[in-house]
Amino acid sequence: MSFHKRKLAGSVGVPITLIIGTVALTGALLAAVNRQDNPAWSRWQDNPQVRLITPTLNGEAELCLTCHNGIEQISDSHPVDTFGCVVCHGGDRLSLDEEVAHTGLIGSEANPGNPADLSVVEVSCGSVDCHSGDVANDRDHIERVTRSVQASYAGAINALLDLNGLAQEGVYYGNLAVSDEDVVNPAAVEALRRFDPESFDNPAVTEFAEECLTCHVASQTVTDEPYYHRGTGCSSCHTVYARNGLYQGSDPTLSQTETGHAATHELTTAIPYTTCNHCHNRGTHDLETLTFTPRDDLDGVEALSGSERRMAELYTADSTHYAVCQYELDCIDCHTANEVMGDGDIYTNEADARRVECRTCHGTLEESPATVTLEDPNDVAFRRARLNPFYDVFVGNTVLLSPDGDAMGHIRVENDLYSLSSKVGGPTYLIPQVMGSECEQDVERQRAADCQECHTYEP
Amino acid sequence: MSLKERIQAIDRRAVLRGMVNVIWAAPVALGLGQFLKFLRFEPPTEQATRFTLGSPGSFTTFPVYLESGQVWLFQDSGGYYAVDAICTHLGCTVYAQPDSSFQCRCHGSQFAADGRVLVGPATVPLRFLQLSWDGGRLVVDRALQVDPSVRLSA
Repeated sequence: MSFHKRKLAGSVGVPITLIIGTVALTGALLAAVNRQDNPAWSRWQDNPQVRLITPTLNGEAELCLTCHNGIEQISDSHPVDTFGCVVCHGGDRLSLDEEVAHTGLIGSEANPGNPADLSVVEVSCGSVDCHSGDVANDRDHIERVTRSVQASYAGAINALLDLNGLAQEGVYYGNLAVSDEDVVNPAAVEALRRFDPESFDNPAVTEFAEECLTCHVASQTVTDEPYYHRGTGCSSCHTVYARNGLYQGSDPTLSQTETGHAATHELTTAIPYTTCNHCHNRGTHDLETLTFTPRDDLDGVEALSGSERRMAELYTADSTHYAVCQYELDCIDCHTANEVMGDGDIYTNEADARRVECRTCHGTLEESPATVTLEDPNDVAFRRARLNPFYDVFVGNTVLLSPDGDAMGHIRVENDLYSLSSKVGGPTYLIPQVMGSECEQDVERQRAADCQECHTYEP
Repeated sequence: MSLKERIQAIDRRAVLRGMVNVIWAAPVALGLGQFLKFLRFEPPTEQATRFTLGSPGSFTTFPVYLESGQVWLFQDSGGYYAVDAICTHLGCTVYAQPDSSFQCRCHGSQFAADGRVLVGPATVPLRFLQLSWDGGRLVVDRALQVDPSVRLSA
């Protein structure tokens, strides 16, 4: 003990350790009071206050919006006052500590904030009473998606096995093991085995697994390059990512400089071509040489706008043929939900899953397109129209019928005129009919390239 | 005694003892303050089921949506009645239509004026809730369901 300390302690008859301990205790208490009065979450608000909501869905209070103050409502069908956050995202609903609150988040390993990843979707979007809560084929969205070629990647996998002499009669593989006891479409199969690259012990399969198995909705994108940023699972298609992969919304906790976030925390059924373009039209794949050649024609595209930019991004520079509908419409205007998300059947390649052909909308020389008049207010066409902000359909309307019997509510038929309202906010498009025209259509040749032999759009 | 003399008269030990007492007093005061906060904390009370909607004279039109009770309040020749505005599907707010039917904007369910389901996905009818008077003000009890024909006389 130094002279001064000894003197002080001795002068008041109190052990010096007690004094030091008292001072330390005071400091600790002051720190605790300061932490209580200025909690970490208060930095996310100008006028800090705990924000508590009690979703009507479950009546269980949660505090998430205290920090995620300003985040976009995920959709009009999932109002935050009704659903809250935890029912989809998990986590500790009553904690204001970042680490504790985020314990038990529902998400993939790579993206804990995405509850729509197929690895966890059964306890989020696909929960009972949500999007797999109905046994009807068209309502069990999770089952449809997991069986779809977008999730299974069955086309590329089985083509690769075939190319390398590894295909077995009647045995097909996919990214996920799926089976279907109720095969509807004759082109569909009963099951896909899970593709396990190691079990083949083949260098081509190994290389394919390392280089190519990232192109399906169950996988995370592996590059930080522009255009490639996207979600996984349901949010592969139903959330919009900016070209640069940056968040542009109002949640103060989400970085606006770190890539890999959706542009906003919103779901949409008005899926723009840019979303499809995160995977499609990114370059040329060759299964024989196992090479991918990325596009090199996108320099300067940011200076373009409107249809010019759309044309530049949508089609590669060597795509010289396209019909006017391919130019003006968005992908989902023709590729239906059943085709893209799956229809409940299991297909081994995209061509088998494809539904809409040119004649679906344009008809033939002998027949007009198939139509249906919507009488049942519970028809799925009304639900789809209500979820899309760009078109309406009403009981009594006559609409186009897809080859698999799906009412295409965005294509109305009135006075023998077929008009398509773009699902993504584009123009209303009057569909020319083959019947009564001078078209030399061969009804058996319905690939886009067949019709483009004559119908080539010149911008 | 001058100020200087007074200062000189103060015992040095007494000053030091006073300082030590202040040091002790600080954590005791802080601890007591936090303990008082703890004693004063009032846990949330049990969720109320009765909500005052207000005086009928204050409503310019019927039906009217009253957020305080999350109900649509109607008036007809028999009196007043209240329909639960929470959709029986997943809990969104339903909206009264000009023909007194109801529509949920979340998932498209539609209900007839008497609460029956017209269009899914909802499968359970909307509830009609008990109204009562509290002085001149209408009160709804969200815990008490009544028959759609019940009216509260004006």
